[in-house]
Amino acid sequence: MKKIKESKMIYESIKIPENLEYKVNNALRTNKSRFYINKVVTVCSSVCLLFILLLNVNPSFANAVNGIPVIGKITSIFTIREYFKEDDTEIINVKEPAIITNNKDVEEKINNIIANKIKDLEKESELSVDEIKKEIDYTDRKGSIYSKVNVRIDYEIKYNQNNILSFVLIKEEGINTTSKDLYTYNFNLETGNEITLEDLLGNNYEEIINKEIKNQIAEREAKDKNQLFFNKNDNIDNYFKGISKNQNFYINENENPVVVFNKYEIAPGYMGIQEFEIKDEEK
Amino acid sequence: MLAKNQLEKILTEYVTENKEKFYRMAFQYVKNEEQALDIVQDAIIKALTNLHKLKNEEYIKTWFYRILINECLQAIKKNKKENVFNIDEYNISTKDENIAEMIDLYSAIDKLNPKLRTVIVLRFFESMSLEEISQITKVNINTTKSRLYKAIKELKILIRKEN
Repeated sequence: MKKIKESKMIYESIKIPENLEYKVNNALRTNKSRFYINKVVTVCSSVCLLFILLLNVNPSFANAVNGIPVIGKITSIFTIREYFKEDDTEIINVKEPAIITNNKDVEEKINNIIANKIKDLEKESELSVDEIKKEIDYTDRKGSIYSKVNVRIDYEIKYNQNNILSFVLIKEEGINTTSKDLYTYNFNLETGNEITLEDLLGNNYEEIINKEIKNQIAEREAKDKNQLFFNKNDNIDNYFKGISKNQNFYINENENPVVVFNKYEIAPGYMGIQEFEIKDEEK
Repeated sequence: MLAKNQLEKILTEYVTENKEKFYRMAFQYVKNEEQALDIVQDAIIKALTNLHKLKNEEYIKTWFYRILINECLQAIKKNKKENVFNIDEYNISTKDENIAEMIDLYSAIDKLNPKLRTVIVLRFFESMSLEEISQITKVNINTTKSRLYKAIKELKILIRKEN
């Protein structure tokens, strides 16, 4: 029946209230604390039972309890907003993450940092998409996938345990060959502060890392002829001289820092993103 | 089988991605913003509490919709008076010539009995397959099919009456 299909338009035009997101996140969160408590119950005394009952019947009580540090150390990161657009000239795909954690101040702080960065990245790629489009001759290639500008903003969780949250925001853009940039974030979830390389490796972290990276570069070049890094004699200033003040790094499952260099930063484009795990010898 | 926290993660992602669809589904039944929001919220909480019953993540869609629709049906049972169509709650332009006809049809769906209504909404608004609808409503495909035909027939009669 064609007409029923048409009235789908009415269905799809139902206005979405602004607080839907809030309600949904709240519902997802309410259960987090309850779920965690259910696991703890086996070691709990009977006094706890009343507490659990309250949590189960009363979501606002559960929310209030959320702030108590003992109860939950569960932090999750999820896609809060996803945006996909495709037309004759471009394919845009944006995923914005947000975190839920028990310390609301920390949660808000980190989510703000993420939201601002994503906003900036979106703006940046909007500009570069316009630039790229100017250079494309659409006359004979219109609609071809190869003539579409691609933008992807995404994220990847690297480590989320022991009150450490490490994740990467990814921005890819371009046509045919795409550029890929990583932006790394490492947070201490108790304090909400960013974890620095110094926190992980001590005062002489720079020395440790630089030495290790130089070793690993030499190792990789020796092992495989195709592995090529810029060096002093290339007349290119981009060779590895040492890590920078705002060095990109994430924390991996061994709780080791992994130093990351974006494309072209220390090696030719075909080498792509370069990563160096810095192992703590004392561990 | 997946670990519980993995399932929880899958559900969180699924719900976050599809929340607007869930809201529309709920709103379509109750035609009231606050009530629709509550339905979505309750469905999520129920899903999380009963997560252990989800045996296979492949079924997350039909499993979640079953919970959601049960919440919707309970809500309309409780509603003493029926909420009616209010154009302010939709992003539609009144310029379209066919709009009145579409609204008539859309509102006529409310008058179907809940079982028939559910089939219509899932089939035409959520574009689900008969198989998916069978899983959600827990009846076999043949019953789903006959419900669908019956629903279309009744809708035709309802619209004719109005005009």
